[in-house]
Amino acid sequence: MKKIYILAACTILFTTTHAQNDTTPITVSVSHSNVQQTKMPIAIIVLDETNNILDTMATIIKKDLQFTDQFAVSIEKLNPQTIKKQLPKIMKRLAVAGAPFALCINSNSPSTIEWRLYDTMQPTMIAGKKSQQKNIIMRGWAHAIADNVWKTLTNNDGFFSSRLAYCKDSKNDKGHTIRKVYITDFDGTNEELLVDLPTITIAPRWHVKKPQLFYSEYADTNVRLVSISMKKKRKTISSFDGINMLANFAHDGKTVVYCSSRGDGSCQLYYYKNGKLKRFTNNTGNNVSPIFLDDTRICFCSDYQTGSPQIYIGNIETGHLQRITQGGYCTSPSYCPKTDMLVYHMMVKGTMQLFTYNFTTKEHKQLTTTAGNKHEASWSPCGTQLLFAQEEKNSSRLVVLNLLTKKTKYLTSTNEQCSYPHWGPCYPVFPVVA
Amino acid sequence: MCLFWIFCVYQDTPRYISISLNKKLDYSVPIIFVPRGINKQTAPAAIKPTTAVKTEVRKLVQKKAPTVMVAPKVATPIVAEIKKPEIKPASSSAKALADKPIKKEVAKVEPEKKIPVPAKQEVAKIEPPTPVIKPGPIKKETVKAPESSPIAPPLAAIIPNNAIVSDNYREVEALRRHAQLQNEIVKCWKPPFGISPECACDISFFVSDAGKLHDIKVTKGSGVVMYDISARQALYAMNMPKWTYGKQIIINFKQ
Repeated sequence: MKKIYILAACTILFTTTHAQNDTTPITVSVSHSNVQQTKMPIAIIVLDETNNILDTMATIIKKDLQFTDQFAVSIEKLNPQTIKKQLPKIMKRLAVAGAPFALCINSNSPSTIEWRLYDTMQPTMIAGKKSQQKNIIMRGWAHAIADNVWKTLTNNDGFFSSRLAYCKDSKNDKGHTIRKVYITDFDGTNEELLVDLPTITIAPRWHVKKPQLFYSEYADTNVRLVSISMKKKRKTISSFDGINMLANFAHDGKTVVYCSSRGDGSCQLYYYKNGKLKRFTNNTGNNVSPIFLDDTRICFCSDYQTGSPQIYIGNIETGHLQRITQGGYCTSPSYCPKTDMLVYHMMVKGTMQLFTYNFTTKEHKQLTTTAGNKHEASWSPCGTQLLFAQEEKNSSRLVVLNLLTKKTKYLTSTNEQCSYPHWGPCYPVFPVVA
Repeated sequence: MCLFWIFCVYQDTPRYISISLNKKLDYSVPIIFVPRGINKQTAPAAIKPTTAVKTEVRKLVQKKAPTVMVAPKVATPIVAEIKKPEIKPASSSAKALADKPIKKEVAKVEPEKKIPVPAKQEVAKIEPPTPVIKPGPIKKETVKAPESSPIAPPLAAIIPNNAIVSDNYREVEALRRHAQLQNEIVKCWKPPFGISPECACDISFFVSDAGKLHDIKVTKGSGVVMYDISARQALYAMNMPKWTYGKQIIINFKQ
C-alpha cells in the first residue's frame, strides 16, 4: 500500500510541476561589466540617389553621429525607381549584418524633407518626421535630423544644432595683437567671423533664448559689455568705468547678471531684473564669472574670504552666500541644468584642471589630469560634452571632452590662439552670420 | 522513498532555478556541489583534484610531513613546510600514523613525475634543522592528521577559494545553468558606448523545442532604445543552451 501512495503522490507532483513549467518564466540576471562595448551600427539610406541635397545631408548626419563616438555609420543610396523592391531586401541584409538601425531620408520637394528611423530586425519604424520649411540652411536641417535621431536612440537631447562662440587672436597691420569673436559649428567646422573690430574683444556668451551674443570690447576708458546679433547689429549693454563683462541670462531670458568694477577697484556682481539694475555682492574681493543656477540662485567665483578664488552660491532674494569649494584656486564655474552639475577649474600641482560638482550628491570629482592649463569650460546643451580652452606650448586650442566615452577632440589647430569658448543652446532656427 | 528522491532531483522546475536579481554572483568561478552528508574536511572521490592539488600532495609526500591539513596556497610556505618534519617533540604514535599513509600516496602520485618540480631541491631544503619551533601548536596538528582520510586529499585543499560551494543540488544546478547562459550572452552581447551605468532592461522570450526564439519582447525598457535593441540583438545571435528549450525566459540585462 505504501508504494501505491508514494506513486500516487509522485504522479500528482509530476503533473503540477509540469503545469508550472509552462507558466513560470525563468529569470536570469546578466551583468555586462565584462562585456566588450561597441559602436552601434546604423545605416543612412538615401532614397533618391540622384538628389545631391539628400546626399550632402546624409554626409552631415553621418559626421554628426560619428562625433559622439557611439555610432558606426554607413550610407547607402537607392534608385528611386526601385525603392519598393530594394528597401525590404536592404533591411533584411542590414539585420543579418548586425546593423539594427536604418535611417531613411527622402525629399519630395526642395522645401520638404522626410526621415524615418527603422528597427531593421522587426522591421518597424521607431520614429519619423516630415518637415516643410523655407529659407532654411541645409546644414541646419541635417543637424536637426541628427538631433532627433540621437534623442530617439540615446534619450539625450541633441547638440548638433548648437554653435560655439570663442575668441581668436590675430595681428593687425601694425603688428599689434587683436582678438576677434568667431562662431563655429559644434565640431569646429564652418567658422564665421562675427565681431571684427580693430580692438580686443573677449568673453562671448550666448543668449539663452535668441541667437545673440554678449561680449566685452576694450574701449579707450573701459571694457564695455556689448550685444551683437547674427546680422552684426551691435548694442552697448553696460559701459560703467572699469570692466563690464561675463553676462549670463536666467532661464526666462530676461534676467541677466554680470560683473562690473565701476571704477571701484574690486569687481562686483550686478543683476538686471524687472527693469531694475541691482548690486548683488558687496565685499572687498573680486567677484566674477556669475551664472544663474535657477531664477534666484547665482553661482560665481570670488576671493573675498580666502584671498584665492573660490566658488560660491548666492541667493539674490535673501543675499545668503554659501561656499562650495574648500581651498585651492578655483575659477570659471559653468552649470548644466540637465545633469544638475557644475564644472569649474582648480589648480592641481600648478596646472588648471577640470572638476565637477554634483549638486545632488554634493561631491567634487576631478575630470582631467593631463598637462596644459584648461580654461573657461562650458557645457553642451545635452550635458554630455564639455568645451574648454587648453594651453599647449605656444598655443591655446579648443577641446571637447565627451563625458560618455571620456574621449577628447581638438577643434582648432596648434598654430591658433583660441580662448573664451562658450557653447550655445539649440535655437529653433540654426544661427548663421548674415 | 528512493524513487521519490530521484523524481525530485529530475524535476528541476523553473521555480527553483530562478535566482534573485539582486544577487550578484560571479559566474566565472567554479560551482561545486558537496552533498550534505559529507564532511567538507574529507574529500569525496567524485571531485577530481586539479593538477595544482596533485602537485601539492606530492610535495607533502616528499616532505614526509604529518601532511594533509596544509592550506591550498602552498606556493610560498616552503619554510613552514620545512619546519613541520623537524618536530622532535611530536609523539612517536602520531608519527607512525602520519608515516603510513605517505607510503600509499607515494604510490599514487608516481605517475605525476612528469610535472617539473625540483623534488631534490625541496628535500634538501627540508633537511636543515630549525629549532625555533615551539612544540605546543605542532602537537595539535599531529593529532589532527589521523582524523582526516590519509588516502584522499581534503576538500578544503581541492576547492578553490573563490568557488561557490553548496550542498543544495538544485541551487548548484541552477547556478551552473545560469553560468552557461551568462557565458553565452557575454559572447554575443556588445552594448553600445556611452550608456549610463544605471541602464537595465528585461527581455522575455520563448525558446522552442528546436532552440529557436519566439515572442521576443522588451518587457521593461531601459529608456534608451539603443541599449534595449543591443540586448535584443544579442539574443538573436546566441545559441541557447539545451536546458532552455521549451521554456519561457526573462533576461535582465544590466551593467
